[in-house]
Amino acid sequence: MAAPELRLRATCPGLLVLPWDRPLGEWAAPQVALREMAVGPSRHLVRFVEADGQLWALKELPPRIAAREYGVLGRLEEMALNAVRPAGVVIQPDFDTAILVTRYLVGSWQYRRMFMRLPPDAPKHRTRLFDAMATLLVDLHRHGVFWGDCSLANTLFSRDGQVLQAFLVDAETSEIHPSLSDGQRTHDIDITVENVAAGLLDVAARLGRTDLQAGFIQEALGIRTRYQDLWELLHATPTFGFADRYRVEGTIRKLNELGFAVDEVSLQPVGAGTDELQLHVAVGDRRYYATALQRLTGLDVGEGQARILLGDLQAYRGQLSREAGHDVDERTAGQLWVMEVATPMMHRAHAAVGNSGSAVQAYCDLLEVRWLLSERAGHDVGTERALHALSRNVVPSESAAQLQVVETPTEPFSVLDDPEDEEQPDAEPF
Amino acid sequence: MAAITMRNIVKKYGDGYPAVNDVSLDIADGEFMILVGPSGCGKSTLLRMIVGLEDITSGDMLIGDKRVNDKAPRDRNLSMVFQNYALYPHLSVFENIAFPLRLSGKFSDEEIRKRVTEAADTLELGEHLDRKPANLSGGQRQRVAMGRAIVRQADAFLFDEPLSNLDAKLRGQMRTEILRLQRRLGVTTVYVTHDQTEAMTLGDRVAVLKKGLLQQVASPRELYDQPVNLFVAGFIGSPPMNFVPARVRGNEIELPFATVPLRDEWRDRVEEGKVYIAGIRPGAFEDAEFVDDDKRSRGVTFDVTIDVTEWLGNEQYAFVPFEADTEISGQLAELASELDSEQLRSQICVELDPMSRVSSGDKATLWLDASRLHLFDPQSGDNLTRSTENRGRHAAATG
Repeated sequence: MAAPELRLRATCPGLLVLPWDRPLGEWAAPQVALREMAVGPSRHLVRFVEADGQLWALKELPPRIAAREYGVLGRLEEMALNAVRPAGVVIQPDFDTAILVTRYLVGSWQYRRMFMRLPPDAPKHRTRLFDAMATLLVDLHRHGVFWGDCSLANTLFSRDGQVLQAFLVDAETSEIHPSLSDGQRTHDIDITVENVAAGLLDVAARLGRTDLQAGFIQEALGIRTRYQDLWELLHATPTFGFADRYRVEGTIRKLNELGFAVDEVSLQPVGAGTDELQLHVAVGDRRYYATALQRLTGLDVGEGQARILLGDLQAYRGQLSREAGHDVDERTAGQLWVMEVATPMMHRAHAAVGNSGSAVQAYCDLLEVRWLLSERAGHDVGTERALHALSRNVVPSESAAQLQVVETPTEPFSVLDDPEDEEQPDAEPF
Repeated sequence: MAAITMRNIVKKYGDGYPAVNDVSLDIADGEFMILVGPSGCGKSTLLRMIVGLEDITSGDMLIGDKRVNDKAPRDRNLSMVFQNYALYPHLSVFENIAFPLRLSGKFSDEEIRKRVTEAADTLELGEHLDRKPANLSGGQRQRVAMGRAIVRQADAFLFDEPLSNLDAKLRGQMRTEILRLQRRLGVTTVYVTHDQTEAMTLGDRVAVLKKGLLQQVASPRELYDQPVNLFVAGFIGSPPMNFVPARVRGNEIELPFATVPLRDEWRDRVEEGKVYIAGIRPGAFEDAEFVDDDKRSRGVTFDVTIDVTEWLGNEQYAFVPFEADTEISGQLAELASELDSEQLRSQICVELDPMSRVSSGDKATLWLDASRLHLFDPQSGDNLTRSTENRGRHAAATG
């Protein structure tokens, strides 16, 4: 017997002692702490294992493909792109196969949860889903990553303030190039649109709602427009006269609002003898607000969450300044806000939602609910009422806070339990 | 359907390295063309330039009579088969095939029904259109995925190593399905693979590439029997062709284990006393006992000591060590690296009749069909003894 070849990035003892000399399909409880998770279809066998207090996803693949996917996921991690993180690859020469190990993405969920737990007539939620996918594709493409098989089933989502973040799960078909050609980008979008449309039609058929199909197709096609708009915004090179150079600021603000930091702007004369300038913006990470919040408070949160929390912090600083009769500096306000406002409110909000999801997200939900209820009432309804609404899950329909229901429970269940109906494997691999 | 024409296609990346270098290739309407070669030969890059995924540095890409260099992938009317083969469990087989058409928004319900029904008939799925994928067999599910490609009525089908992540059994099944489909529809097909079994069994013609350069485009039979150079000779065939030193002396060619007569028509192609590389397929040998009398005179017999034998039931191989000539060992090592293969060891592989009782360590008398030997120039690698006759798809094996 040839010993398996192990490459592990996560050197956890529990991972090391798994029965790597046996085919993944033969692993059994109780020798291995297998966990059943709601995942989508895969061409290959996927199993979940708990080891060292963490959850790991294991996928059986031909060795060549596994080694490639491991490499691609490693590069995605280096580039800090949204994707599952590789933990190792084990080649099993005796079975001419390999096992790819990735870390389970804590707090993430699959699209089917949203469709099954929320009413299907909620286009705003789907908009959040498709915005996240288009944004992920733009991020990948900016870094030269061609996905090749973007679909609802190959994407995991997590909540981030009032938006969603999408994560690449399956990199079997992915390629990393120094940069992508327009052909590669449009092809990747075409694949995405087709896969998403089919996934949505399948959901409609499952719900017995063929009336939704036409709308779903339009929404899938809309991903292309979302992608193109964002891509063009990031890559636009407008020209204007020297006297109008203040317009640079507008461009930067627009990018910042979308969360993109600006690494460099350059203004180049369009030609000799003209005062026309062409603007080139080197767009950096999509962590503009997150970086700002971290600088002021030390909190490390998602970009969407940071945007909301910074708003709350600014409002608090205004209140402090009014009370003090002078400007309170940002840093002081930041420290006080963490101690006086954010920390206690995060705990209360988290408790209100039964400690599901994260405390930061629960607080973001609370802020959103309070805002929406106040807007409806025409006056500030206060924190207590918002907390009450949150705890009873009677939040305004299509608010981001409504998505809280997708977060319970993502926890693994024992292989002996029946998985929830909505989380049965979906499309069939052949 | 349409022909695909490539004229002087070049692909250079940022570093200036030509991944595809001046490739010209005519793929006829309805032809099944294979692009094959070791990794890094440019085969996938070439396919991606046909599809529109890679920009073309220079040259012309024509589909039908239209230049498509600057067209977006979806405007080229090509179909990448098996790019998407997820089946959706709540959609009927009909809808699983139809959804790309529904998405395009260009077709009436009637037109969609017509196309899907036709595709289903071609794929023998007609009776299953109302079923759900779960009720289909494995093979039928594969055909549903093919149906998706067919209903687009594309000008050509393109496959980029479609079977590389399947297990061996499914790979064999799919190969048959793809071939059957292509023959039935007669649609122009370009298929990239690094697997020479796929290359030899599927294609009308096979284009062999090495480091971005087209080496030879020919029928599988011609590639096997009449390779243009050492590279093609070594790449095509499994087990691979044997390469041994061959010195021309008078009317004979001296091999390490035997001497064969020099054919008259080769005299003006070789120099007296010079060492060449002889290429001999394992199948050109036989246990002398099993050679028919009428064939025997075509070859020579010689005695060797067998190192190891491998009996596989319907075929048998024996390995015979020989002294490698230092004059050509460098050439052979370079060839091995180009072919992505392990260093060719100083042994020959001979195919024996499965009934032969020769076993490891035995002295044996072998026969070599001298008409099936090729001589290659050790410097250029060119095949000096290539016959330009019998190049058709069904050309008989030389000898």
